[in-house]
Amino acid sequence: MSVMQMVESVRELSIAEIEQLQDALEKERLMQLSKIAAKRWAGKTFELCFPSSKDVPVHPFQVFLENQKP
Amino acid sequence: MNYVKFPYQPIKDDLFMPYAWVRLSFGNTFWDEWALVDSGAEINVIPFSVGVKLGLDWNTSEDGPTIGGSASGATKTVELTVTIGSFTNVSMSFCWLSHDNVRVLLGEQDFFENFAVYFDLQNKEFALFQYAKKQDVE
Repeated sequence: MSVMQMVESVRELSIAEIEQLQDALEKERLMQLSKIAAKRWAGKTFELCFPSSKDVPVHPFQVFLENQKP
Repeated sequence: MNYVKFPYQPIKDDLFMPYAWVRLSFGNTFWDEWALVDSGAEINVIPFSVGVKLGLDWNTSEDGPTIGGSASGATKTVELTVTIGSFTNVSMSFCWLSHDNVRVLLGEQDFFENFAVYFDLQNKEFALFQYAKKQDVE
């Protein structure tokens, strides 16, 4: 099935169904990318240098400085 | 160059650390979380509970790499989209851990490969600069 045929079939769907399709397509895209990453990392050992899990920010909210848009 | 600045976050006493507030997404499901910008980590990491909140399925996810040291255990490799400040929908690979002993870490591979980071502890702020994508500069 060509991309245009797929788009044509999407025209039959409701907005809610299209949003479900978008979600499924994005998840599939990420799953495909994860397969590539898994091959890249296969058999490798990585080290993490991290602080105690108790060392977390005291503020439960976001603080923005300049040039940021939430 | 496009950049965002974050304040160092107070942890305890006089300790401040470069945590960024990020949005992690898997499809339409997202989770907002503090992530440590951590050049000491070779890869990006999410703890088990964050993966569950994103709706990831441990059993069907790709097998992950080996993690050494105190964070060792079973892992999976997952791909997520990340929003940091005004940088939206950046796809990055994460190692999904089987435990919650580590917080979200943004490490060398994928994160530092995509962003130059300027740490300014004296002024208690750090800035992220996104590298131009290869196709943008060719």
